[in-house]
Amino acid sequence: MDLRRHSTAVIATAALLLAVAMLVGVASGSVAIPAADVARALASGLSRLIGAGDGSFAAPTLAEAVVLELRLPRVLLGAAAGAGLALGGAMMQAFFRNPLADPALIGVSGGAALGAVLVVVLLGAGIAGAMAALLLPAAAFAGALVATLVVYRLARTGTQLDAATMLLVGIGINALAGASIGLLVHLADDRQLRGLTFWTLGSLSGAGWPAVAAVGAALVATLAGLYRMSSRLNALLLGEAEALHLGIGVEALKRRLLVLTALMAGAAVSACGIVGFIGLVAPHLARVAVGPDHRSLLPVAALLGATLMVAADWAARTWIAPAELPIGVLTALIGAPLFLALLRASQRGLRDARMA
Amino acid sequence: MLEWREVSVSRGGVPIVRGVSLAVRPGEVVALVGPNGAGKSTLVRAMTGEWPLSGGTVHLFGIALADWDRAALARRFGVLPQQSALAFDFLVDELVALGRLAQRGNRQRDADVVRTVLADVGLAGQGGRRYLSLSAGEQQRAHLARVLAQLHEAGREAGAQGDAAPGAILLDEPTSALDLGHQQRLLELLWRRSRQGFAVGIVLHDLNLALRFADRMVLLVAGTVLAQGTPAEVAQPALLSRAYGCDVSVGADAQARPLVSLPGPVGR
Repeated sequence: MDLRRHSTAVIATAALLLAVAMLVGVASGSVAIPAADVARALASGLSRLIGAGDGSFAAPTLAEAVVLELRLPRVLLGAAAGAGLALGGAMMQAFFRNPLADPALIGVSGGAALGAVLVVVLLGAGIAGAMAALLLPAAAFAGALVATLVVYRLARTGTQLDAATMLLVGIGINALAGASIGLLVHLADDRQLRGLTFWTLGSLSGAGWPAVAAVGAALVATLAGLYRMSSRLNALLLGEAEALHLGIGVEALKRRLLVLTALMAGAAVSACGIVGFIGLVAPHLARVAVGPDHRSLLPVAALLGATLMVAADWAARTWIAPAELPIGVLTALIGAPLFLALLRASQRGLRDARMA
Repeated sequence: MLEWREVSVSRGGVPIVRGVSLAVRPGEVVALVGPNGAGKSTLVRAMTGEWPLSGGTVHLFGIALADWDRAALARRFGVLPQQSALAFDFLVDELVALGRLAQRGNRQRDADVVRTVLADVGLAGQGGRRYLSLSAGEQQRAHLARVLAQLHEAGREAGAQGDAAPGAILLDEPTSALDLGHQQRLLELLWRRSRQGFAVGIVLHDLNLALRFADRMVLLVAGTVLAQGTPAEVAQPALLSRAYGCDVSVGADAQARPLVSLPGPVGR
């Protein structure tokens, strides 16, 4: 039986799933708020946004404060970062022509986190407010870009890319980034650093409207950059030489992919730390549903990534409430087994190819 | 028309191709033959721009490669590399449709072309199958169909550019995974394209296939052209024995056409 379904139906289903996950995420948390109050809070927030209120500036109720200032930005940040990480994964997979490439696995997110931590430590207490909102993502972007370039240079021989080297270089970069972050966090003792687990396992607990705006802007920029790029990404999967033969400017395409991935990973990591495996799981599930054609793969992967992130965050903050799990623990619980299964499948594929 | 003019290519300081001048003209099939490491694939990569030249130039349809717009070139010049390692499970239809990227055509037209070229390579009605479930030979033919789809309107394109040769195609070992029947069908298909005015260059290991289908053969050894000419001119036992470093004999088939064979184990 062929699992692949018409892509429009899959996109609609994925959008519905995301809507459900976001509603559940907004409606539940460590403070119990009746559904009616949640709905009222959302409605009042909406009416304030569009300026259609009755003009009275009543103090916000507790439900309004929790829903509009805590839960809603957190759910929106999760959705934007999840979609961005899924797109980042899909872009890396096209870039490396390998479904195992994930920004966190191959060290791109680690590079981003190291960049962000370095800025905080170097600039110390002098960094605050709007400066931080701009500098952190910029440093994370630079770190992600450097990490991707290192992986690419080391994994490439001639026009061939070696998957094993790619993963090994990722291990090296992750070890280096992890150790450096650990060292800096313990030396710095700066509240800006938000602790070691934030950077290594991620959390949406720092969510606020500025973070939503930053990651949302990066997501919009990525979507704009990816516009009409799907067919060229499909061709790139054939190989760089084949894409060139098909009339594609391969070098320009790769540069654009690098910048977009680093942009998205940088924004996501500076806002919610390193959340692994979203970039691996979401595109994989999307491929099962609609195949590898990027025209349908990218929207489905983005929607699934957003859904996964929102659902994982919901589980992270409700499972052992009032305490909170790092979200990366949950994404790794789902993602790591899938990664191992994919690795095994790709080994089998390579063996078959060699025997043929 | 594909032209290599005094082309030299080095990799890592080692010269692989040394000052080769060659042409594949409109309406002819040229077979590039020679031992492993002679520089056959390197000549293909020099023509596509994948590998930089350390000397000389390559020209396509009379225009230097550097002066071509890649998309315009792709509508007239197709390349089938040795073996594509595709790790993603496209449908055969989707894979072949990638050949239509440089076209500005519409979706219905693309679908028609995909159906036509799939039939040409013996994969009629197989467009719904998944690439990774195909046999090696079927994968090779699917990639060939992709290149044929790319060049489907080459004639019209050439007419617009006021050029006699509609298109050109370079293939590196296109028959390596094919059975006898498909070797015959594929090379016949390419031969027919040449008769429509295409310049067809094929890297081949099987000398007998080259003898049967090529108008001219180019024998490469150690990065230089040892001999070139008609199949009869190249099928000389002394020449081939020298090129391949083993005792090659040349006999004749039932129609008195040259047939290359190996000595086999000594004393058998």
